[in-house]
This record gives sequence, structure tokens and C-alpha cells, in this order.
Amino acid sequence: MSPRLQIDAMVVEHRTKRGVVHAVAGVSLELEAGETLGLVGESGCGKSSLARAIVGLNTPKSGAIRIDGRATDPGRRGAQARAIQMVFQDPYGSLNPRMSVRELVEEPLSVHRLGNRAERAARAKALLERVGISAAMQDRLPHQLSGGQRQRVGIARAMALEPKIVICDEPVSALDVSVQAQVLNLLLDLQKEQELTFLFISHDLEVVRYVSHRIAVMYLGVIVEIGPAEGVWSLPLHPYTRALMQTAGDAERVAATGPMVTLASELPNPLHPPSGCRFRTRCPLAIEVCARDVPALEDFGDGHHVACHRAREWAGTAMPAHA
Amino acid sequence: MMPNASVPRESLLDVEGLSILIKDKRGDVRAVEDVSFSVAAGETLALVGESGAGKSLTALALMRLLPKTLAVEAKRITLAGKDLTSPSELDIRKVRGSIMAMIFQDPLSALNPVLTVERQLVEAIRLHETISRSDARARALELLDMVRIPAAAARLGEYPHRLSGGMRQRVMIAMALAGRPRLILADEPTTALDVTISGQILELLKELQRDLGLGMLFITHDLHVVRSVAHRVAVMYSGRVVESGTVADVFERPRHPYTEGLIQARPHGSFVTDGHRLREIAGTVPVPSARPPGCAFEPRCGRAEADCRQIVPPLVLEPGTARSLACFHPLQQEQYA
Ligand SMILES: Nc1ncnc2c1ncn2[C@@H]1O[C@H](COP(=O)(O)OP(=O)(O)OP(=O)(O)O)[C@@H](O)[C@H]1O
Ligand SMILES: Nc1ncnc2c1ncn2[C@@H]1O[C@H](COP(=O)(O)OP(=O)(O)O)[C@@H](O)[C@H]1O
Ligand code: SF4
Ligand code: SF4
Ligand SMILES: [Mg+2]
Ligand SMILES: [Mg+2]
Repeated sequence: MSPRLQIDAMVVEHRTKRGVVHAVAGVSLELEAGETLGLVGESGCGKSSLARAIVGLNTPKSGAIRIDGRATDPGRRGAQARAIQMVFQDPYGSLNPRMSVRELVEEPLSVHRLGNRAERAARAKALLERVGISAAMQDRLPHQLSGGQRQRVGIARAMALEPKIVICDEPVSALDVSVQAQVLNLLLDLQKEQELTFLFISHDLEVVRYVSHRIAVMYLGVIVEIGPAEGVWSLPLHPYTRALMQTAGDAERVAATGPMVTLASELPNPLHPPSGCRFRTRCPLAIEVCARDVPALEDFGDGHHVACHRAREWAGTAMPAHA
Repeated sequence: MMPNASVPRESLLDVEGLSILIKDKRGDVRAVEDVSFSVAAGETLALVGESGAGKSLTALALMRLLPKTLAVEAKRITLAGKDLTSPSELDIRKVRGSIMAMIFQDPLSALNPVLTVERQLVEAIRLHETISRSDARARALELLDMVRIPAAAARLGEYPHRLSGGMRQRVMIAMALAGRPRLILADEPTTALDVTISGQILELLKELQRDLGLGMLFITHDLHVVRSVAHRVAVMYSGRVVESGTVADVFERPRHPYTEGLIQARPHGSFVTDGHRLREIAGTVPVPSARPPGCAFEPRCGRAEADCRQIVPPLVLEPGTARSLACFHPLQQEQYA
């Protein structure tokens, strides 16, 4: 059977005054129905560019998207357009400030000409109640809501068109800890009820580990490691993943990944990514070949794939600290 | 690594009964109410709490950098033996930058965009010491080395916006150190940074603190960061400190229902493997103008009883411990598994 969502060799470029940013440099992913794929990586590595291309907010330079094996058309109309929806990080920026909460949820229904006016109103009301926005609050404007309530409205909007796939781009990053738990529980409940597929982007590694079946790690526009969540979390094979995962608690697990490393310097200029392995300028384990050859994603069993010339050396044991 | 909790305490900053009033025609509102804490030399106290708890205002009040519409009231504030309860403008100018200095979340807001790193550092240095320009320049270089900026000499001529986020934060730390302060107030200095960069900055702050014996008031909403940098922690909720003590005590055996709720609300494992839901704290933090009459946490608290709705629980030192608590019905030590 074909996967629910298939992303094939996606390339996204942004033209800027200083040159072309290769934000997504050939990413392929497959997600099953009901599956959550967590996507992590430093800011600027291309997560949002990929997310926006998948929902049709960016036009990719090349690449294909298939839903249940059927290619989506670039203009994306009808059922195809409805199948993929997005929940944004910033509930402020993504909601029209002059529309009431109820209108905001009715809007996608009227855009797609679903139901008559009364049916749309009833559906919006039910959706809002489902996400915990009581009838009393449904006439309010976005600025009259708390951050958590606004995010619930954003989720109700995304759910209005009964999508199969929801791209969640940092959906709880702007929220307080106590409210994050409410929103995460809601997203997981909805996923279970409707067998939703999630691409879940977050810089919070504990949140990603909590929600994900699999985790993909992105660096400067490419996937450097992808595999079952517990494997990537506890036994990462890519030096970049190790550095990331070591920033998140749990001393025993961190010790098992190999010696603690702190990455020197910062993400290189995306206008001029390094040759060979894009991570080599910050990699404590880089050797000559890393500057010359681009490492391909290789299979380490159990769906765990890693793009590093040296990963075989430490597969099954701890990674060394230095080359 | 966990900082050593048993640092000898010689109080550097003492704050007692600090309140911050938002002046309003319809009546003043207390954004921060009756907050007390102390910071010893060589010690980091983390001030942790959700958005709007009053963390930033508390730090700004100590620096006397609050907007005019806000007023400070305090029973007692002392810093390095000096009484700062109601300081004159001159008193405050003498200590600001030289005894206590502040680091902000957004370095661009604190750095001057039209001046080079060198100009800003030299000015900051000469504000506190009478030295020649060339000596000040040498000291500026020394400061950039201290905050581990590679090729420091080459960075002196840069403008802030040309630097990466992590570098800017280092420059701001160098600026804060220019007057050789003894206390650093750090307001979410790593919140805007990526995890890998934020790790570098936290390590740097810990090292500087150790090497220079600084006291540090570290504001954050991130419990991870508290664990990695702080010796002691004060948890704020809606303008008040509700629990304080050593990081190990408070995090391993929280006794205030809010502290416990905060810790439990964070993910601790995998939903996919065991299907456990996160523990929510229902509702949201009340705004200062609409706090309930008794305990501000009462509407969200599972342990609330009638008294919680009437009386504000005071922050009280638990006898025989180093923990303070503001709750009528706290969790018992043994209740927390
Ligand atoms: N200039 C101001 N005028 C009026 N009210 C203010 C002002 N600054 C802050 N407040 C209010 O005081 C309370 C405490 O604000 P503060 O900025 O100290 O919170 P915080 O704990 O630092 O939150 P965050 O984690 O979001 O930075 C909030 O309710 C805030 O809305
Ligand atoms: N609209 C845009 N115009 C120009 N450059 C962009 C635009 N959006 C993103 N970029 C650049 O593309 C790269 C990837 O950005 P983004 O996808 O937002 O990363 P992430 O979501 O992982 O933080 C970055 O270098 C960023 O500066
Ligand atoms: S390929 Fe080389 S530079 Fe890249 S991660 Fe592996 S060891 Fe490091
Ligand atoms: S005082 Fe009462 S309402 Fe407040 S935290 Fe304690 S038990 Fe809960
Ligand atoms: Mg993004
Ligand atoms: Mg603040």
C-alpha cells in the first residue's frame, strides 16, 4: 500500500538580495496514516520552508508530493487541497485580527463551499467546542483570547476541512508550559479520533520525543538522520544528532550516546553551504573525505537511516569525542 | 553538570517585601507583590515562572529601569552592604553596571546598532574606570576573550547586526562585565537561541560565575535551564514567589501544587510507547487586575479548600529546612513519588 504522505526529492529555494538560499536541498520522506514524524533541527535549517512547501504556501523548485499514492497538482484544488492542513507557531500572526473566532473557523468551509450557511455555523460551533472554546467565547476577536485559546482556534480551523495530514510547525513553542500540555493532549486526542498523520516540527526535543513515532533530523536543508523515535533519541548515529540530543536531560542516556560534545560555532551561511558533508565545519569527527564527498542516507536496520561517512565505525557502540 | 548546592552563603543581594505597582486611574494594580529572596556571592538563584509572572519586572525594579508608570515599594533591599530600599538617582548610578549589571533576552535591544562593538565596549569601560582610550581598548579585547569570541580583534570593528545571535549575546555579556560587577541579572539570556548555541552560552555564564565569584539572578521559564545553571530556585506565580529552595529539593520534592504541576506538565517520555497523557493545569494564569481574592492559584488547584479562597497564603520558611512555601495545603514530602 502507498504511504499516506510521500515527499519526493523536495527542493525549496528562496531568492534574496544576497543570493539564492537553498533552504531545502532534496528531502524525501514517507509518512503512514496515523503516524507522527517529528522534525528537529536548528533555526534556519529549513523546517518551515519544507512545511510550507508541503501545504502549498511555498512553490518548491522541484520535487513531488503524493497523498495515498496520488500526485498532488501544484495549484492544489478540491479534495487534494483539503487533505493537508497546517497548524502554525504564531497564533497571532496566522489569524485575521478583525474576524471573530466563529468566523475564523467558518472561513475555510465557505472558501471550499461546504454546506449552507446554517450548516457551516453549526459545524464551526461544534469544532470550537471540541477544542475547548465554549460558545460564550466564540464571538470574541483573536486579541481577546489567551495564547493557548488562540492556538485552539488555529487547530479548529485546520480541522474544519477534515484533513488527513496536519503539518504542525512549532505548535506549542509560543505557549506557557502549563498550556502546552493542554494543546499537546488535544492534538493527540484528535489524531487518535481521526487517524491523522502529523509532521510535527519543534525545537523542543522532549516534546518531539513524546509525540513522535519516528524522528527526522535536519541540517542545512538536508535530512541527516531519521529513524524510530526511541533509537534517534537514545542511540543517535549522526554526530549532529548526538550534540542535539545531549542538550536534552537524562544523564544516563546522554552518557550512552558517547562523550558530551558542545558544538563550536554556529550554522554556516546557507548561501554557501560547505562542500561534502554540510555538517563538517562543526563536526568534531570530520576527516578528509567529509570535505569531498556528500554522505548519502544509509540504512542501519529497523528503518534507521544516517548520512555520515563514519557512522559504521560507532554503530552499536558509543561515538568518540574527537576524530 | 549540576552546580554544587552547598556553596557557603554570604548574602550579596537581599530583597524583602518587594512590590511593583502599575499606576492606573481606576486604582493601582500590583504586578509583583511582596516578593522576598536573596542571592549569595558565587550563587545562582533562578527565578522561574510562566509568562506574566513578574520575573522581568522584578529584575528591572532592582536596576530601577522600570517605566515611569510603574512604582516600586519594598521593605528592604540591600546590595553588597548598601541600602537600596529607596535609592537616589545618584545611588543607583553608582551601582548600576558596576555592582550589578543586566543581560537581556534580545541583545539587539540593549546594543546600539550604529556603534561598533569596540566603541560600545570602550564607552562602557570608561563609564566605570578612568583609563586611557588605548588601555580601554586593551580591556575591551580582554573582555571579548573572556566571553570566548574567536578572533576577538577582528570583531571589534563589527556592528551588532552583523553578528550571529550567539555572538551578539556574548558581546552583551562582555558589556555587562565591563564595570566588573558582582551581581548579574540575566533575563532569559538564552531563550531566543538555538539549543546548541544556548548550551554554549549557559556554559560560558557558569564558568564566568565560578571564576569571578559572581552572584547571579537568572530568569527563565525553562526548567531544564534551571537544573543546569542554578543552585537555588524561586518559583513565581502571578506576581508572587510561591516556593523557593535548593534546585534539588524543589525539583525532586516539590511541595507547592503549582510547582508540582509545572514539573508534571512537561513531557517525560513517549506517548507513542506508553500512551500516557500529559498532566494539564486547567485554565490560565490570571492577569494582575483580575486575581482571585485568596490564593491566586486557587481556581486551577486540585488541593484548594475554603480557606484558599479567602486568604492569601504567605511565603513561610519551613522549620528546619531551606525551603519556603506559600500554600495552606501543600503536598507532603512523602506524597511525591
Ligand atoms: N509597563 C507595564 N505596564 C503595565 N503592566 C505591565 C508593564 N510591564 C509588565 N506589566 C505586567 O506585569 C506583569 C508581569 O510582567 P513581567 O514582564 O515581569 O512578566 P515575566 O514574568 O517577565 O513574563 P515573561 O515570561 O513573559 O517574560 C504582567 O501581567 C504584565 O502584563
Ligand atoms: N521568505 C524567505 N525569503 C528568503 N529567505 C528565506 C525565506 N524563508 C526562509 N528563508 C531562509 O531559508 C532558510 C530556512 O528557513 P526556514 O525554513 O524558516 O528554517 P526553520 O523553519 O528550520 O527555522 C533560512 O536560511 C532562512 O533565512
Ligand atoms: S560525514 Fe564526516 S563531517 Fe559529516 S557528520 Fe560524518 S564524520 Fe562528521
Ligand atoms: S493555598 Fe490552597 S489554592 Fe493555593 S496552592 Fe495551596 S492548596 Fe492550592
Ligand atoms: Mg521555522
Ligand atoms: Mg520577562
